[in-house]
Amino acid sequence: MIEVDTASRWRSEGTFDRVATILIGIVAILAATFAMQQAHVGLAGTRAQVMAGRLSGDAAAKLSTSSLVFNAALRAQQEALVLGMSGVSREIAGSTAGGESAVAIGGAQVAASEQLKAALTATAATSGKAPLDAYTAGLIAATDADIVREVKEQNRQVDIADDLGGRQQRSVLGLSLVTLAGVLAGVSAVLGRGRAGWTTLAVAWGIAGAAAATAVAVLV
Amino acid sequence: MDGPMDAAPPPVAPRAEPPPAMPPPVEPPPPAAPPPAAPPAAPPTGWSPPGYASPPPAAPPAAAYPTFAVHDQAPPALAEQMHGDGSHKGVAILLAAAAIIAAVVGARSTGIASDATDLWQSALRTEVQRSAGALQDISYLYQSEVPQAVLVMSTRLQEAELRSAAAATTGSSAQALTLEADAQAGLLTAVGTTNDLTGKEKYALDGGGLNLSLRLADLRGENPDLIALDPDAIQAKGDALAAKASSMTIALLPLGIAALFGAIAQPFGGRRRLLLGLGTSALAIGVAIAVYVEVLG
Repeated sequence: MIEVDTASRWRSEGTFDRVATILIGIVAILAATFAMQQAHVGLAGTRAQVMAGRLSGDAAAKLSTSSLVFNAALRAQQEALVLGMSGVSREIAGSTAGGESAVAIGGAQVAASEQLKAALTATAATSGKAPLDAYTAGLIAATDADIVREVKEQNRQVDIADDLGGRQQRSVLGLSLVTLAGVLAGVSAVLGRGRAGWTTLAVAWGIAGAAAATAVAVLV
Repeated sequence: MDGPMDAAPPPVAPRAEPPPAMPPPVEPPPPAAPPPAAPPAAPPTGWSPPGYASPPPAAPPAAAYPTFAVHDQAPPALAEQMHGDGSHKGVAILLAAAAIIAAVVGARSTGIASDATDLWQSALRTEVQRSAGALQDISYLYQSEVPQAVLVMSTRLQEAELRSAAAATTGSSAQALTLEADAQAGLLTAVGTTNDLTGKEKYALDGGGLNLSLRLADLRGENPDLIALDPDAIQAKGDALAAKASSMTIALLPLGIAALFGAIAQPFGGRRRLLLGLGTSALAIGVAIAVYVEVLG
């Protein structure tokens, strides 16, 4: 005959083993889940950081190019205006002083100024066109709206990287909790089916639950 | 620390069938070397005080109702029930296979992810290199060549207008206009030949002006390697590898489930075959995902 205590003990052993092994299995699944999340979140975060860096560099290049092209065009137009003003001044001075030669030279300068303006307009129209390569043409042809749009996208990528960085930290926390739960499950197996073993096992289950909550927090 | 139930009972001897009413007699010592007195046998289950003869158990066949001595280990039949067929090979093999395959999948996924990250960083470096090269050429054209070219254009136009005006007039005015035109020509000689943009006919537009795009394309063409840089293509390769690495980690989930089934197959002996079957199926799914991603991903 099996005594009541012994039968109760065997039943307790079976329950303890089942609770412990189920926890170990759940720890395995949680570890796999966190590894998966870590890979997804880590890669996405790295990509967002790289995209932010690339967009930052591209926006800076477009800003520099825009400034260079705009300043060059402005200086050229100023050159034409100065020439025209110089011609008009000579004409006025010649008319006032009765210098026919000065009036003629001034007139020639004014005419040259008008031709120069037209030539500069035609020159500016060739900027950013064929046969230039697409990237350089894009730098020159970028408008302020394009640059603003690119800066907004760069900021969005930075926000994404920041958000994913937080998720990655939560994922690391979850992995740490899973590791702790696994270790406590092993400790409970060493302690056996006594009160200490059951207590340790219960704590391990609680930590595994916290890890599962962390896994959900990584997703949200 | 063990609980009260875990206190080890005194060792007992297997009880004979039928149980004796009194403790068994001590065996006679061997003649050669009489050993010390054998330890007294512990009272068997259903122990009765000396002198009291318990009635013989009523009758059920011994084979149908086996009785066991109380000891610290589960009896064979209960152990059989707890551990199923008594073989732990299936559990061990499943757990070991799940662990090894998960390690291989994790290592492979990490390697692919590392390659993807390398490509992304390379795309970033290439982007910087490309923009730096383009900015250098653009800066040279618009900061160095264009201002000088505007001066040359202005001088040429002035000379032409002055000579045209000189041709249309006579006397001192024509002489002054010619002198001014000669001065502009001298200036043109000094600066006009040092500028490729204005010194080469191919950059001149028909209606006046200069073809800056053609000039910039020629400048850029001096370093064709910089034009060939394509960070988008490099990033696309990195994206593909990242997708492959992420997809491969999906295989870890069924592998974890396989480990779960393998772990619980041990205490749930009655359903061991079912649990091992489920675990093996999960393992196969994990392997299939990993192989699919590796070959076709």
